[in-house]
Amino acid sequence: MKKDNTKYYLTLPAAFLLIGTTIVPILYMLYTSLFRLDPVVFNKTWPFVGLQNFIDLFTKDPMFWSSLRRTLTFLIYTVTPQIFVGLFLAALLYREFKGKRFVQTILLFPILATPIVVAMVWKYFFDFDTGFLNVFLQKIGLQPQPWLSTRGLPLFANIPFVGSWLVNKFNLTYAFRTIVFVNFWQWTPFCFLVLYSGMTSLPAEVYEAAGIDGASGWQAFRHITLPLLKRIIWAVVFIRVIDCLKVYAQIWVLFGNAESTRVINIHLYTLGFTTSEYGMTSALGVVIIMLISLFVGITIKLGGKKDA
Amino acid sequence: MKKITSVLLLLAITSLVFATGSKEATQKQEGGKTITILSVTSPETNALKVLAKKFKELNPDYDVVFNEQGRLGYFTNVTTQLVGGTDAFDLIQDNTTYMTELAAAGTLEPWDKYLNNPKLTDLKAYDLADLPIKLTYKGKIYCIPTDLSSQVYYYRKDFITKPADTWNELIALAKKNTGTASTKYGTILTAMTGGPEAPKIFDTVIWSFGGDVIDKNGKVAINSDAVKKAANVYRSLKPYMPEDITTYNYPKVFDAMKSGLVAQAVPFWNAAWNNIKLSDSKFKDKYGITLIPGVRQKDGSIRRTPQTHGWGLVMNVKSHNKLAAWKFLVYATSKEGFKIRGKHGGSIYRPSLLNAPENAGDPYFSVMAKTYSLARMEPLVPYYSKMHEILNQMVADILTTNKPIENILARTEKNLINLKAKYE
Repeated sequence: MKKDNTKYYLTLPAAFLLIGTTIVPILYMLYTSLFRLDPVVFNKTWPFVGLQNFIDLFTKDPMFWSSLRRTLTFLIYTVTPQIFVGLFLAALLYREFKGKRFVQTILLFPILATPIVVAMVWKYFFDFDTGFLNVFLQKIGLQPQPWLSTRGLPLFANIPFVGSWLVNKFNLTYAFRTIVFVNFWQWTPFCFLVLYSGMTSLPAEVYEAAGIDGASGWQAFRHITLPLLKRIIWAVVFIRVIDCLKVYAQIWVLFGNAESTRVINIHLYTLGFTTSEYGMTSALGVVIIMLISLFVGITIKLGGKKDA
Repeated sequence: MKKITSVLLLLAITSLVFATGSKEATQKQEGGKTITILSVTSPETNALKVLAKKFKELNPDYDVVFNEQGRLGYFTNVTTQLVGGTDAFDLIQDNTTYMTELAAAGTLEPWDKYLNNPKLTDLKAYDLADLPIKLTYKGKIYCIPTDLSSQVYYYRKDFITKPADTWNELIALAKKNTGTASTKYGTILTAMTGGPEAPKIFDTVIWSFGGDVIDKNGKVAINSDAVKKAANVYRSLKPYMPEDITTYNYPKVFDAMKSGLVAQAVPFWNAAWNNIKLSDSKFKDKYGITLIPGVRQKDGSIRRTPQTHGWGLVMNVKSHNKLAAWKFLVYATSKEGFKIRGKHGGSIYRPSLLNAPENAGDPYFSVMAKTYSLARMEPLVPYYSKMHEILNQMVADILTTNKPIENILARTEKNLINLKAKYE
């Protein structure tokens, strides 16, 4: 019987499009990372510099390591609570109670908004003089807080001798806390949604058997729900890690490319479009792709191990 | 048959995907009379639009089309469009401080051959000597600004009877007027991290102490006593300004003035004077305007050094309508052009107009005439935006951390030296 290849031909336009918009630009980025490339030489012969852009990035760029460290801190500060709170909410809403549907609907609102709109709204909420939060705090007799300030959080900054070091190394500033909060606010419901869906698909018989054996609610959660949800938890971690590594819009709207909130993607934009160092930007792009691949690999490996 | 059908289907889909982008939507004709301007949303552009209307009345064969974009990412867009070789715009509105980089990239058309051609320019009527600022690169003129911005001192004249002459007096006034019944903050300035304003405003203070970022010999001079003194002025003003001062750019400072939150805004851009007068603020008539403070010298005089930069139109080297574009450029920067734009929110900096008898009653004109005579521009270097990136970090460190100023300046110096070395 003759093999019909029509289905393969039909995938070709999509394949060309995908290659043209992902593989070709990545290869071109790799190529341009080997040249000194900025507006001055853009329309002339590009000087070949080999790996110098990478070396400059690692040794001379004053913001590379700090923005990388900030990205990792952001990842830890956001993903960890999102997973725990998402799981907590899923467990809480797994039970039947009056008004459950209403609470579920309200919880999902943040995901429906675009990140830029969310950031804009919070920016107005956090304004020191006219923001809703400070107006509210003052109404109840509390001091207004500089939510958008790049100042260190007093709790840490005022610790003698190590306060400033702590603030710098662990990004314990108002501004950083704000970007973490906004991301947490918008994406915790997503974690809840996926984990809740996972919980509803777990087999009821196991819980019935555990109930007959006298297992408490916590024991059932600890020894049945968590092990059975592992795959889904890792899937959520995986998605959130990728999302947090490419976070851009929210931070940009809230703080632009301010140093204290500059994650690696904001730094990439700044290098490329504010200071127009296209060669260095390509080198940073290559590094970011490698980093994301590494993180994705680690997450998949960890998820797989736990599952085995 | 089936195979032929599938191949035809494939061709149809592929054509659909790629056909739309295969040809330029519009083909520009050489020597056309439609001038396309890439412009940014701003009071200066509004004034330019009024001017363009008048230009079209005088030259019915010509048309001026504005392609206006928001401020966010505008400079980025200008650079990428021009470096990418677009011919979609004949004139581009840009800040003078970014022009050197674009001129060095060969994306701008020099003005000299048009200026020096009597058929194209009546130099006597144009009065080149009355235009003190010309943006030059390697001996060629690339722009004469349509608008100049500089910094002045706004104060609430309803309770500040004597504005500060020196930075120390400013600090004292800021302290006195913080948290009073009249105002919340003693003073305010633009210090938004990441934008161009924070380094420019800080330059003003540095220069008044006799310091510099890069000195006349091209040496990095940021780690000096003068800059330390300027940084100390900022640190001393900090308690009397908003906590989130590094988020304050022009619109935010202007809003603070409008809503009566601040007693003084200094150093702040001169554009705010017209803007506040045209606004619906109930405080609009309560602001006074004067020269920025400075540093008292041994002979008793005050060294005041406002920073200045311009907004202007540059000609795209790829433009197909250069002669038409030039006609508009000459009109925009002529005395007549300044008068028209000045009435509609544009800034006037031709000395002949600032000192004209009809402006004698308005304090703005005398303050601006004096300010422009004292003003300085930042060094016009091809690594300008990268230098600003480093200076932004420095200003943010001064205002938001308790790091010793010596350490901040040492780090800034090291970064600037590295940057300069790359371009030498």
